[in-house]
Amino acid sequence: MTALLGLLPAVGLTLAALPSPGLAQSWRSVTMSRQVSGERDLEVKVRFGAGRLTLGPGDGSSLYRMHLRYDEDSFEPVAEYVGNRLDLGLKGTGRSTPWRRQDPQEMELSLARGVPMNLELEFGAVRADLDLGGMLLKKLDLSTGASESRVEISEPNAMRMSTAGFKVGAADFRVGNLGNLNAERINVDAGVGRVVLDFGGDWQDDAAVSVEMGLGSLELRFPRGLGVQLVRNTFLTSLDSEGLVKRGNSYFSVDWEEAKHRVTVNVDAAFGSINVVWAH
Amino acid sequence: MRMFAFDRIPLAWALALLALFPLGIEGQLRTVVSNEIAVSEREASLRLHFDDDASFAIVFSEGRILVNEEPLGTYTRRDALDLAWRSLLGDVVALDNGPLAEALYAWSPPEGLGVEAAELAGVLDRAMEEALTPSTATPDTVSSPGVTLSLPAEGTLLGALLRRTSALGALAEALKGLDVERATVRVGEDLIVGPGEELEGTVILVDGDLEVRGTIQGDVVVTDGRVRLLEGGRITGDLRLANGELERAGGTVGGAVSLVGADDEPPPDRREVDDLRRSIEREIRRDLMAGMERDRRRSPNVVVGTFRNVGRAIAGLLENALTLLVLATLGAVTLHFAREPLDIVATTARRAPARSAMVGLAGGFLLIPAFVLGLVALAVSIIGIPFLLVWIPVFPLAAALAGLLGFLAVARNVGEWVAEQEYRGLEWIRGSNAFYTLTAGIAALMVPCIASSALRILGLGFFTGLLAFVGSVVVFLAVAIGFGAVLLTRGGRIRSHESYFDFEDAFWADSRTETTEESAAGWRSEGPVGPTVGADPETPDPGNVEAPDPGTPAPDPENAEAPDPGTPAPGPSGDDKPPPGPEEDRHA
Repeated sequence: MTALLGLLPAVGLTLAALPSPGLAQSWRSVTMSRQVSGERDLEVKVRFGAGRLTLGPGDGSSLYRMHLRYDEDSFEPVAEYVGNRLDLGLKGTGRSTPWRRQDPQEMELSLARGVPMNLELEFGAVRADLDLGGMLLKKLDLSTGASESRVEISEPNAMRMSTAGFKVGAADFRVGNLGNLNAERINVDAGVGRVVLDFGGDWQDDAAVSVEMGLGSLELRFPRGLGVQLVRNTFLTSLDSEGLVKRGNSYFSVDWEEAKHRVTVNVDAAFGSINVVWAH
Repeated sequence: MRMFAFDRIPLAWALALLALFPLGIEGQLRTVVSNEIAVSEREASLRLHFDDDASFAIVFSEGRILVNEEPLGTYTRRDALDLAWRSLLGDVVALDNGPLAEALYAWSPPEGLGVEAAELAGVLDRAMEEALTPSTATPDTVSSPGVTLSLPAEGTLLGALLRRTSALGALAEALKGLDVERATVRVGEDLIVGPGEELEGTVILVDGDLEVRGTIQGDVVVTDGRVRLLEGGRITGDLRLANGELERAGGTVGGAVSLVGADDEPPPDRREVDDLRRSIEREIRRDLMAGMERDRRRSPNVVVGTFRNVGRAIAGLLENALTLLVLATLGAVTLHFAREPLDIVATTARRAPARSAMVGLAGGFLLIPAFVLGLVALAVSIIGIPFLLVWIPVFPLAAALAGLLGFLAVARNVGEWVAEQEYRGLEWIRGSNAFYTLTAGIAALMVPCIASSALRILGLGFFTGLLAFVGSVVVFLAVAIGFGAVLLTRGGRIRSHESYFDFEDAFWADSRTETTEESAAGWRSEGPVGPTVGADPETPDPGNVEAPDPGTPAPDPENAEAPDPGTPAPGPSGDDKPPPGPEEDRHA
């Protein structure tokens, strides 16, 4: 019978779309903030399961400022600051709630500008809009499931970052101005979807970039003047290597030798396409 | 709306006590390290954390007002006080630290509140002001000229008093008429006046003991405490005890000794305690009732169980009816728009069920690999990537449609079989009406499922499950056979599979050959491929030749019903060509 009912998607969708007043959600809005009090080294972890997320730099006085709008029957806010570890976000209450059509949850978070921190971001099915510019980031780890994420580094990071890691599941993922991250290594691990990496920004030093792609398209946007070496280890993946010259197993930008800063990009991809775009 | 402890005592006295101690309004406010403002249907709360690790919280939650987790009073959702509080939170939600503290400090209850609401709002206002003011109330610290205030280390004056709401009524009564311009106040602490010591002014003790070995030049008020007048101890003024005890051991009192709150009326704190107790009892009772109700729902109950079974059975039958309705509708659409493919698939499914089933199963297993392969093939080619947009939705849709077409074709065959049985009450199922036979076939395939739903009334779990399993198997086989037939006929476009050899045809063809050899020879001369099914009513389909019951004679061609134009011939009636013989099929 289940198989037969599978023939009735239209009926099911119609029924699901009907309003159910008995299942109204209980929304709770919480605003939390904490003042900076001389922190010099901070471990920040942000977790957000589903909804809309906006993250950006705050002012110099607040360590964080977080606004949440969530279903209080199913989630509860997390804002724990112990030692130098700061945990923020939403976690499930464990209470099972019936599936229902719902408005997205929201999280708006601003983090301190002047406090050095290792930032770990963990998202699920999230539509994220992140601006990491202006923060003092020593390390960055971003992992996201099925999401539509935009990461912008609008201002240069004043600290040299050891590693910036992006783990992306099935997603439409874009990062802008990677140069502003000031990172020694950038690792991108993407499953399925579309990934756009924009290497614009203010490059302070050389960097090594590793990209592992499953199925999907990868777009690499480089600014003119940046030395680029592209090392390709792919299977059934097309490459549009505009502006790159092949030498041996690698592709080089024409000004590789003269470039002030150089980026080596290792791409390991299975199925899909790689496009190289040069910004004017 | 109700105030705990304050509703039966003059609030003004309690507030007047606070008013005695100017707490530095113009001074620096405390540093708010972190804050949390939460608003929902159930709650509107403010939580502050200060730089000295102290916290302060006002919570409006489900009808109760809590200050530092101490109940202060009650409110009603969306009453004036609730709205005023939410309005304040809305005003300060965007503020931090200094501006937040200043905004909270500057808040004053809005005009237009009722009496009780205004009193509660006033207490909240003072509570916030006191919380935000830097604590100067350290032990033995002079707060104002002539007044010495001493509090327990953990809190503020209001907090200390709120934790001792039961003492406030008596205290207010005891303070009447006394000079409090010069006073020593202790809340939650003991006071010892040692030998040779002299204390001037009124001494006020709340929830603490007083030991006097020296001299107190003034009056003494003690609530919820004990006074020990020891050798050499002297109180020059009055001694007022509210819920207190006096132990004379050589000491003297110059004035009067009186007990406050010892009248017939039960003291306010007792009534307050009673109210709280009743409230807690009501809450516990409500929780217990809710728990019992949950247990009752979970426990086996014959009546409830019967209704539950009936409900489930009705739900199951409605589900079956809805499924039948939708499938019949889809069948009607298919008959209207794709009758010929349906006939071809049905004929193939009937004549080659085993082969169709095997092909259907294999095709089903290969669906996902084929889908992925196509996906990859399109993804790796630049040109093919746009076609992914078509491939991803169209392939699963095509597979679903093929399964549906196959299922309907098998259902049509089953419906024809049902029509041939001529069951009583099922005369409406006529082989000449394709829609009736199709609907009857779908219903017949669903019989185990329907029976399973109906048996739920009796609560026969095993038989219900068994029938549901049988029903699933039947549907699965029907889909497998039908899907295989669709694949074999390329979606009902290729007719050659209609003439697949099967044992039954061979057997009955042999038996017929003996009696109608001449006709059979005439048919054989036309070749191995059968005539068009349903396309030409004048040329009946050999694939639809009905195998006669071995126990009954072959139907009389003269009495045969004329075939419905556009539908396959139900049997050999009127057919001047016999079904293919085994030899021809082998050649084919």
